[in-house]
Amino acid sequence: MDTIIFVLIFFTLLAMGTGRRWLVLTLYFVSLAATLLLFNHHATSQLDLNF
Amino acid sequence: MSNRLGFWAAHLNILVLCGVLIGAFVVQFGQGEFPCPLCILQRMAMMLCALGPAYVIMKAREGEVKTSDFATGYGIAVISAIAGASISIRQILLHIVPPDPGYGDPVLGLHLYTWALLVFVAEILAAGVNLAFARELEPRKAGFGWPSWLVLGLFGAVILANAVAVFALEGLHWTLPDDPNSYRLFDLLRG
Repeated sequence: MDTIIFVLIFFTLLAMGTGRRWLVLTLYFVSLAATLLLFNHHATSQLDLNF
Repeated sequence: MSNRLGFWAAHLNILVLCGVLIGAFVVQFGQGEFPCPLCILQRMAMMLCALGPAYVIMKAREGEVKTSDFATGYGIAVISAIAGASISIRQILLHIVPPDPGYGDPVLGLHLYTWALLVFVAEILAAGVNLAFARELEPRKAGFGWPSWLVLGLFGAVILANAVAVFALEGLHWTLPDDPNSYRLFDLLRG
């Protein structure tokens, strides 16, 4: 999954060369959503905090 | 007025983020530390931040950068920096209660995830300044040339290097373990 996200980010950078704003924004938001979903997957334990 | 300051500030923005990402590589390979899943997620967020100024630079290749494109670029940087800061804060809070020593060795007194939070806050500030002074900073007739290709090429190389490194770390698994202690691709190849 991590490798796929890095490749997605790379394709977003490449898409900037096409000058198509919608393509860049679509790839960017897909990369961001994948990153946040992966974060959600890893953030499972409760924080051991006591105020 | 060609507003070259804003154009070169976008280059500097990418170079600083690439410098931090290369620094993470130095810690990973120089000191033999294995990055945790949250460390990798913060690297992703830094790259997503760098896509913002990269968009502004690429738009300058076509000529004058419109205010809407300038705002798109720095909007991308702000959204990514907020996402990255959330990940850094989560990791800081995981290790904040004494006697937890934190994850990895500190660099200049702070752990890498604390430095990452400072980087994300600095990115939000930089994007805010660019947006506040958009009239003065959005590039017009900026000289897109080999320095711009060099910076964008370095950024592309850093992304690909991370893709290869994390593939070696993850092997054929979907996700990284919480506390990685080997390169699982090499473990797999060794049998």
